[in-house]
Amino acid sequence: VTFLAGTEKGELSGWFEGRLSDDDAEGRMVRAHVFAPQTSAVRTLGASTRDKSFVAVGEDGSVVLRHMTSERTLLSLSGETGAVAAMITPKGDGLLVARQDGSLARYEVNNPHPEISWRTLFGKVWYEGYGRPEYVWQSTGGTNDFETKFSLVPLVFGTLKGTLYALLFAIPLAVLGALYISQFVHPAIRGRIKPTVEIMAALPSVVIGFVAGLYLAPLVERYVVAILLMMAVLPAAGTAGVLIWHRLPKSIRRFKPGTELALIVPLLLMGAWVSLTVAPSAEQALFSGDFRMWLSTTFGLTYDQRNSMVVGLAMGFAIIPIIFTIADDAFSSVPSHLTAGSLALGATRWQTALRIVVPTASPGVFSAIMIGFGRAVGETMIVLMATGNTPVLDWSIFNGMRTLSANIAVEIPEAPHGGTLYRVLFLGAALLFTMTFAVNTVAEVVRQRLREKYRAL
Amino acid sequence: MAHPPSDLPPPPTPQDATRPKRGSAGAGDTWIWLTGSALGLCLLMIAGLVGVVLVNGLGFFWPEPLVKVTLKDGGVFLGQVEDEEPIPQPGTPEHNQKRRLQLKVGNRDLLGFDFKWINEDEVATREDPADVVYVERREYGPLLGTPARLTDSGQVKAEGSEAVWAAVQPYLDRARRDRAALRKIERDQIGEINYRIEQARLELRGLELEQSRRPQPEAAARRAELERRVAEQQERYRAKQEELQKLVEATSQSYLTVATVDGQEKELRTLDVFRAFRPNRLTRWGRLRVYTSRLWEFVSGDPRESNTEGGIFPAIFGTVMMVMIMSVVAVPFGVLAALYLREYARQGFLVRSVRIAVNNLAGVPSIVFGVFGLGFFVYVVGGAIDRTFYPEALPTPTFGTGGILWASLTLALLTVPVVIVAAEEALAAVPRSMREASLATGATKWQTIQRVVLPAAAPGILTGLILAMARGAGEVAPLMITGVVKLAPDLPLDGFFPFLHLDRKFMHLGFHIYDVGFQSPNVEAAKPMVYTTTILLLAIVVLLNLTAIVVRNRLRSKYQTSAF
Repeated sequence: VTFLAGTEKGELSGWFEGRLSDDDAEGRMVRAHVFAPQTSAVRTLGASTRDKSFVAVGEDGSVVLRHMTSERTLLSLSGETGAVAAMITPKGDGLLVARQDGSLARYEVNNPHPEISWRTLFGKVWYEGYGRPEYVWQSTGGTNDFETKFSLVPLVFGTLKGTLYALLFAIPLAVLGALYISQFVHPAIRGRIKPTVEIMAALPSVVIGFVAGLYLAPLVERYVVAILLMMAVLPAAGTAGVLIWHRLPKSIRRFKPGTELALIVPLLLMGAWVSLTVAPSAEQALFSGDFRMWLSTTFGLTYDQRNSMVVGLAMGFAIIPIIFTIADDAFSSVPSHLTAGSLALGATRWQTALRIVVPTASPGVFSAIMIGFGRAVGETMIVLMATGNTPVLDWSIFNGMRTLSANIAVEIPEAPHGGTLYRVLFLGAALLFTMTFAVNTVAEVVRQRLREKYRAL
Repeated sequence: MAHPPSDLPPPPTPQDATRPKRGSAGAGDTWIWLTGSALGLCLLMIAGLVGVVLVNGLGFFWPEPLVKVTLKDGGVFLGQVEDEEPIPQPGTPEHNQKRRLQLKVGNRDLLGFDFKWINEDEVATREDPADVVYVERREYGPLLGTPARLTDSGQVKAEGSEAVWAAVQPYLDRARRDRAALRKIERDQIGEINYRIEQARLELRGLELEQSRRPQPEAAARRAELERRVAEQQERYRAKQEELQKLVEATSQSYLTVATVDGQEKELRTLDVFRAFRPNRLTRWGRLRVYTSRLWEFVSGDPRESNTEGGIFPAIFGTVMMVMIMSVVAVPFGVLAALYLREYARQGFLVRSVRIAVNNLAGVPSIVFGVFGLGFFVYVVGGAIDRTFYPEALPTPTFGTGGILWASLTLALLTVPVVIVAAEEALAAVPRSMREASLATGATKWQTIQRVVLPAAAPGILTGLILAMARGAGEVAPLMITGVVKLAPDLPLDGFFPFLHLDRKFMHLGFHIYDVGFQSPNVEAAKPMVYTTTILLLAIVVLLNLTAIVVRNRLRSKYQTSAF
């Protein structure tokens, strides 16, 4: 509930009970909305019964229609001079103005979306009952006098957060994997792995999301320390293979350049096993036995079961194939005379890859990452299923988010056609489209340039 | 152990025996192994995902033996052992020392829960009773217990576990036939009558509308005729209802009583028993039979218990049908676009931007397509169709709401880039010599395209189609807002004119996974069902993709061109 106050000087403000800080046991009246001053002292006010609009009548007879949440001046009746009182019709589609001479005027108002302004969509707004202006998305509420909160900021934030974690997971795996498969692997193995990755690309996102939400999320919750350990242990375990390799008798080694995978996969499995066995004692030693408890006491972070880590893993899994394929494309179409020349000059495989292949193909890798970004931004089912879909503004990896895409999927079935929510959701879709369109176009142009470059080389 | 051919890229550099630059080569090798680990991890993840789905899904239909657990406090539970794990008690020395097991106890109506965790040190005895039955029924999930009594028309036919089990078999067979008969009346016959009544009612409404615009003399006669038809159908409806009532009564005479281990008794109509078996008496062969029969029910039956049991046939049907409509739309557009881009258009800035746009279209989030489908197809096009052709049904929308046509069209938009790219690739791969030969013999350009280029490119276009189908079958987000529902008893294809009902809502495998896994009231009990659905969807998508890969590889070796 908001109170409106008007003064003799024509100032207008909206007040409600809010708690300015967490220490406030009781709320106090706060002046949350200050409006542009009227031309004269405020004589009367009339509030809409339908939404947060109100009409203010000045001493000089001016009539101004405004909206509380958005602080917008919706209408200022210019021809009206003798008004003494005004009210908004119950359906919000008209104004009744009583004039000094006793006459009554009825205006029709066509004003379908008064609560929307650039500020309510992208800026901080002081909503009823809040202690300070905030970014909030809350489209429906239990009561009739509910104040709709249409800030797109938490959603854009959630989208970027999910994308960030997915990319953090996917980029190293996909780009390094692509480098390996294009430069180092045995051709026979390459012929097997390419189709596997293509099939990985074709896995429906609903399947990935389902496994992430119902299988992975509880698993991660239970073995969170082990999973964190694995991030360090697994690369080390796979790389440790090189030590074993150099100890192997030469007679075996000579015949198998490019078949390291056969050794790496068991090593990785071993690494995972080691992480799982070590994790409980590590948890005991580092986090006094309970990681989640430690998290909340040390950093004050909560642990949601369906959190950004799960989303990062799942969405990363979903975008690995696309980044992988495009990066591999770029790596393996580096003209062979360049690599052959480098090798002939005595550079090792790794030196050739790092100094010749990667720099030449870097625009391709860039466009691969951009396209991966585009995919992650628009991914719907995975975030829908693997997060709690709460629109929060918090970078913590241990809680969830709500993305633009999931928001559309969740809310549009309930949005009445043509209503404000419906249009805001369309705006969300337009935002998504713009983001992906820009990113994809850049990526595509870069890719075409690269292809021309290769042709010229 | 194969020698790598020396001329293949990348040229393997032999780590020669002397290894002169040990430091740098060794360090470089470490990095190579790191990149290899990245790839290895990707492969492991794929294997892990598929493995999780397969293990959890395939085992579900296998009838596991039942165990009877008596607790020290006197509680008795009968169920399948679902899981066994150490009890986590972080921070205490007892952490992971004791074990507990999870029993799937069934009998939801009697117990109020499906699963029971039992700490192992509370268990007094654990046995495998031989004569327990596992009854799958219409409502409340499985019923577990010992058969106690069989009554028919109020008379006790058999008592005692063995006797009842022997006596109930013919009843179960009859129940199956009765259910089929009931279903036929309920769904086919009464459904038809309802459909006709609805049609007549709409025609009446249409007549009224017409009448209000421009009165016609013969309207009264038509009106009377329509009303007569409605009355006639309603008469038939009443008769059918009566027949149904009688049949239900006739088939509900026999009751099976099952005693549960905690001493309660549950009486249920044999008509409601879908399957009953004694899991602890089954041979391996018997288990296999139960397994196949459950699997068959899964792919061919209708869902029960708010989709958590029974089959998923409507979802399979809806998916296939939607993909087919989508292909019919996407392929012509895609192929024509590719033909123009590749064969007719002058390669320049415009064509380049079109190509970028096509690639871009493939990268647009699917939910955006969904929103477009909702805003344009459903509300604009559908709304216009309704106002023009179905004014009598308004305000109930016919096409102005989500339906299989709009969902398919939305997906067609989504998959058209896949078709265009593949078709372009295929057209580019047709050797120049073939076209030139055709043109040299006097064929026109169109004749060349039609008789030479297109047939040669057909397999490539087919690859594109298959890939598009795979993408379409797996996409869910745009469907959720353009016409998929959790339960659609009427298939979009049936025996009433016009047979193909494009305005109907439909079920979809992918949405089924989402809905049952995340929106159903009893997620834990529904999980296995979701896994099995996932296997089916995965199988469809992977098979389609494999086909596409095989076709494409054949093509590559056939033409040996380096098309991008």
